[in-house]
Amino acid sequence: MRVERDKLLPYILVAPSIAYMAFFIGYPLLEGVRLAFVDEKGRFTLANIEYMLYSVHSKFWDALKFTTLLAGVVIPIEVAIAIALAMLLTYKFKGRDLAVYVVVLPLVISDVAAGLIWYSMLTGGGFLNKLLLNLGVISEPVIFFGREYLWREFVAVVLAEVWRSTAIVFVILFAGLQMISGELIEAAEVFGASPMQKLRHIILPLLKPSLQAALIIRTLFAFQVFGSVWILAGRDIPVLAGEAYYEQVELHHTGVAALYALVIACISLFLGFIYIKSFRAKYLEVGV
Amino acid sequence: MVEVRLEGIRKRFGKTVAVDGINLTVEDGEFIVLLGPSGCGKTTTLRIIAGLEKPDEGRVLFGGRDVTRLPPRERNVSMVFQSYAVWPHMKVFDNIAFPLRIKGRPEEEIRRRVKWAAELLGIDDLLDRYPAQLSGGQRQRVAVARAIVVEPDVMLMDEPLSNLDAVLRIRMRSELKKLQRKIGVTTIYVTHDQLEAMTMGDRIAVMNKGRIMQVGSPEEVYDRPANTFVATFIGAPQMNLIKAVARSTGDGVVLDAGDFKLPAPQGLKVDDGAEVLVGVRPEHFTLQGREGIPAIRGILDFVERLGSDTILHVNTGNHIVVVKISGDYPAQVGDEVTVYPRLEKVRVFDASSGSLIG
Repeated sequence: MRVERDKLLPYILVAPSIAYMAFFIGYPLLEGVRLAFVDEKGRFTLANIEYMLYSVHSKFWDALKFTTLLAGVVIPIEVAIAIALAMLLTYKFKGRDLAVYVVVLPLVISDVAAGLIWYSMLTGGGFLNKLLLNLGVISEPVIFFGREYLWREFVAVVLAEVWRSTAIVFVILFAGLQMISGELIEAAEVFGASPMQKLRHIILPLLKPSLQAALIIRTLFAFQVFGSVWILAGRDIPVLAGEAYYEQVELHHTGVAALYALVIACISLFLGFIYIKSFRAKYLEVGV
Repeated sequence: MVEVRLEGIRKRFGKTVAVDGINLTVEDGEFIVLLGPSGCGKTTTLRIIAGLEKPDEGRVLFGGRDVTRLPPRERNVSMVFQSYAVWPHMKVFDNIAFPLRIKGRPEEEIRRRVKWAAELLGIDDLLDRYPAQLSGGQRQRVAVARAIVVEPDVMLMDEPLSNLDAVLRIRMRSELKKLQRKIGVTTIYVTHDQLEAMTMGDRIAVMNKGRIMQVGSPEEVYDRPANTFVATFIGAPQMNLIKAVARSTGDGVVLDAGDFKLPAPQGLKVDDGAEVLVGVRPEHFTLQGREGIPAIRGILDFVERLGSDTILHVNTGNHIVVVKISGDYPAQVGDEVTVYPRLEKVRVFDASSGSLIG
């Protein structure tokens, strides 16, 4: 009896997690598939997918383009800033803890609030324009918002996103950096590495597991981007999550909205897979 | 390979003074050991020589060249860290090759030199492994191979053996020493283990509280310790320090410990009635009495049998005298024993300053 109980124990221990995942992830996922591919009468349908891909009312392709573009621009900027900040803040100096808090602060601000903050900063009578006018750098306010200034809106969205979500990348990389033993980095110094060589040959490779985690999390968030874009650009810059919201709330196309959600899930899954494959830290997988 | 000279090195961390005015010259090709208890500033001194710390005051000279303000990479030093600091993401080959690659040496030379270093340390069959696949001892060898592969001017070692098990530690002791002799590199070795210091160092610098207490050959620091700190730090069991009063008599000075009296060493200059500490190492006692040698009698308080030696704790009344004798000694706690000090080995320290006076 004892042996059987020992065999069962692991399953009993994971059972609550499995139940949780089945209820909160498995069920909604299946429901999403049902909503997207089954009509009111319970028949299989491709109507939603046809609407999404081909209807003149659908902005799917633009949304896909802008979401990808936004992720492609925002994530590299954030990773670069986060690495620089994390390295800077590993040095011990007075006020370091305060600096860490300040850097992390945007993490607690919602995307909508972040959008509003940057809207009030960049708007015609906003902080930036007032500052530049008073300094005499410009004679007329710079207009950031409106359909004809699409790329300026895009810049505003990038600013808001970078400001808001660099913090999450920073937190992960900062923690990862602190895990790297100081002696490993000092050894590189002693054996002749310049600061750039240290970064390239020692710090970045050892940071790989953290970079992987940060990129996966940040990329998943990037494909769900919504609040800040909605506030700053509305549907001028369509994004996948925004279209899902629009189709559901404004047009009551529940099936199409579910389809958007599935598309986001599939893209996230695919990119996560790519990251895991390409950021493998081989040295962590060798047997002892 | 160069001479290393430290001039008036001082280093403070906040309110703690880690290194408090160190002057030391390490000769070209010498193996010097910085020995001291934890917190004595030996590792900080080593890190200042490496360039990983900047001293608040003083200069570091390599062969007359002032390197005090130079970063580590411009000093041509190499170092074996206590944790080995072998990079986990590089295979053994790449770890050893790293210093050469950074210096942009041609690939053919890199292969040749890595092979040379790896063979010297007996790890040439491990070059294709990751550090996670190595034992502690093997990792340590990788760290040493990496340190010698560049032909450094100065090799620095920070307690490299402290993470190894006892058997391996003793073997690596002689291996490292032989290796150093073979390549002749100026080596500065930090340890808190006095046995390591005695067996490996050409000279030993004994440190305490950020200062150098004494620099000398192992024989010198053992035989004529400059003060009571060095006297008790080197040698196990510790040197006996027996409180006594110096008294001038007709035939010279006598050291009166109350329970027994010892004649002072020749030429001891000390005031009548001065308080002194008489230092006798446990191994400098015999059981056979001879003409003119005062006997020390007492009750056996405790016996430690080590097989090769026996350590007796003799209670003379006011003092406990620790005596080490060769082989077994058939005595029980409570027995009365008589031991005789070897007078030529008796040292005398000033009781208040702790300095050697005779």
